Amino acid sequence: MTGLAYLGALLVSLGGLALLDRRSRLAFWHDPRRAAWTVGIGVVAFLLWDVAGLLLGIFARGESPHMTGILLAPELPIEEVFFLTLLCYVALLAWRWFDRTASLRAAGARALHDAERGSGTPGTSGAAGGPGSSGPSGSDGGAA
Amino acid sequence: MTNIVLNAAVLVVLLAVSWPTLRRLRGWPVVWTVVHLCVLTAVFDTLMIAADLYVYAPDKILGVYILGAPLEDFAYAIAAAVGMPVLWTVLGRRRPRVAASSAARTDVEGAG
Repeated sequence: MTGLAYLGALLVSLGGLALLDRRSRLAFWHDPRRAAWTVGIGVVAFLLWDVAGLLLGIFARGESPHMTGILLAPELPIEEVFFLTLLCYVALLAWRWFDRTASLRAAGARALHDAERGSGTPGTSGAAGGPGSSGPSGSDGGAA
Repeated sequence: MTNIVLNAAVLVVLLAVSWPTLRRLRGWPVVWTVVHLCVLTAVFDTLMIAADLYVYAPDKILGVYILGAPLEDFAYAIAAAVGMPVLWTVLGRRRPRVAASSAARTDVEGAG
């Protein structure tokens, strides 16, 4: 039973991230193929990094009773794949969220800026403007 | 080779390869992701080492800890926080490029 504690915690965490992903359509619920390739390449790269660390004798598997004991390679527990998936997934979701927030904020600021300038222009351009063909950007009033 | 040498080498290669894409991304979201992943690493790496999930060879690490997390482990957090945005951006390029070129064509036609 206790051998499943770490794997179980990783799976519950991955499930929680998936709920956030679905709710905000950040990664797998935005573009599943792209998300799968992004996380997949990341996990493979991190596994190679792990193997390098193991071969160099930098770290090794602990004696924790909370792991299943299933190994992908000597000293490389199966839990590591799920941990690296969690690491990549949380990084991808966090960045997607922060980047979207920044993008929306920039768009909001731009819209506000345009609205402020736009509210001043119709009167002045209407008074000074000659023919109605003054520009494609003027969307209202000119034709009448 | 010690852990700091390996991890620094990995980060240098990653940043060099990512730089052309990275420099075009909005800066703050990437920096903010790095910060968040480092905080998560400080907390959860500490817990995972306390749970004896993995052990380090004492002579291969610097012995500098943030909470209970070896300094070298933060390289994983930084790599994930830089690598994921770059991969996502690179992998999404093909389709937007097609869309952008067709949009440009429409613009040209519209202007002519």
